[in-house]
Amino acid sequence: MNIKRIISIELLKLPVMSNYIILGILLLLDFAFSFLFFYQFSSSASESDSFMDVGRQILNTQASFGGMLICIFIILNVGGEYKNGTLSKNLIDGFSREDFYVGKFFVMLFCVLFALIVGVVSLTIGSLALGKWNDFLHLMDVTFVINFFIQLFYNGIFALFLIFLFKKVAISLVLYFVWGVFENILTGIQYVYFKTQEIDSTFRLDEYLPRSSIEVVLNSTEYIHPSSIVITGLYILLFLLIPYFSFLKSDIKS
Amino acid sequence: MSVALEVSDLRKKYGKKLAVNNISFQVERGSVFGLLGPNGSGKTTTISMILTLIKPDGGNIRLFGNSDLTEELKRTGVLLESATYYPNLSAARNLKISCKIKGVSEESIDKALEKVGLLTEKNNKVKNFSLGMKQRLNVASALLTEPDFLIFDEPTNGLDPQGIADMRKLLIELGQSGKTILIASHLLNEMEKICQHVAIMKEGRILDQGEIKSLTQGFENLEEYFLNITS
Repeated sequence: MNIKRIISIELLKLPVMSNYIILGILLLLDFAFSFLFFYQFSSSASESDSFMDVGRQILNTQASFGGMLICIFIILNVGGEYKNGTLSKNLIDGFSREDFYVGKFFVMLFCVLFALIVGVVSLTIGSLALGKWNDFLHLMDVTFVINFFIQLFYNGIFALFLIFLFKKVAISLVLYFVWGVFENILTGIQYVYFKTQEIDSTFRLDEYLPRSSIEVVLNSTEYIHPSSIVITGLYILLFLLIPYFSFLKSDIKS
Repeated sequence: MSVALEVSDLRKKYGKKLAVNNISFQVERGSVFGLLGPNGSGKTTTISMILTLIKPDGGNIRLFGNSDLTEELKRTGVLLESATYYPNLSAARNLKISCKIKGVSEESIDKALEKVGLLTEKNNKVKNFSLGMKQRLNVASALLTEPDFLIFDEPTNGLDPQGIADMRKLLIELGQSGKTILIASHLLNEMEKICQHVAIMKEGRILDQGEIKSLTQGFENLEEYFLNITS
């Protein structure tokens, strides 16, 4: 497998208007969030918030919106290959299925890195504008940046999982949004009807749910049970491997 | 004469239905071979298995004696029933992607576009092309590597009479230049003009195969023979 060749082929496919629009929205949103949060911070009404709290709020918001846009980007990108028949064309031209999957993995990684860089840059500019450079350096420790990256990456592989399994853009997008709502409803039911948090504070349903488990691991300020990390790790493996093996074995309509 | 494509005991099942039922045939180098049959007879499934798009349930396929089809497909020209391209990219960029995948020089792009009369449109987005232009772009893509072996699946589908005539002319020219060609089609009159050998499929099975001249002995034309054998 020649990674350089695979990346150069995927790069040739990227410069289309829909991709520019999604990445442009991501860029605008990230800067808008930074601007709004820092504006709120600098105003007297929010002086009780520390710079660190505000910074974390910004990055969490950027991670959720960035994750969503990455998901849309990946679903449109891979779904377009199915819809236009270019997946068949690539395979006929001599691209192996492994090459194709790895190529899309790199597209996802490109989006994640783009979102990460834009997020960090927007925060840097905001910090400089407020004269909070030292606090910014303190906020941007390696763990925090890695957490940001993992949140985006998790969304990206979830998008790969959906589109390679369901092959249709509309179905994958609907499932992405419905799945998130469904998990929130389940977590809400657990909290309202079973009041688990009062009965047994160690049990959290959301740490077992595919999309919520990552947030439990990354955003928890309390002790995280190792089982939560194992569950999230298993989901990451499943999101990567299930579509891969399913894609290798599936028939493709010409 | 050596064999370019060898298909033996090929089988594909969808649920309980055998879409392709243990078929075997050979395409000799330099010949034009037609895979004929009514819609739903298994032609496209067979072609899709040769192109690695569909996994066979049994049997073997060898291209130039090699069972690693992905590698051999790089030097095979393919034209599918439906035009396949990136609509938001230019014609040249679409071919550039094919060149990169096939591992051939990008210098062949202009040559291929000129051959199909699209050189002046090379920087225009494919989504603005007419159906005929899109099909010509796919022909250009199939000819990029100047392949010795070409596979066409229903190449005249959706084309207007002029497009059909142009496609026929191209296929005849390619056949006369010594290329090996496999064509799947249900248009018997067209195939009779182009092919030397045919295999006739129905309900996933090959009913008969051989040289057109010998098959049609005692019949007026290929169509009459076809109707006789498939009825």
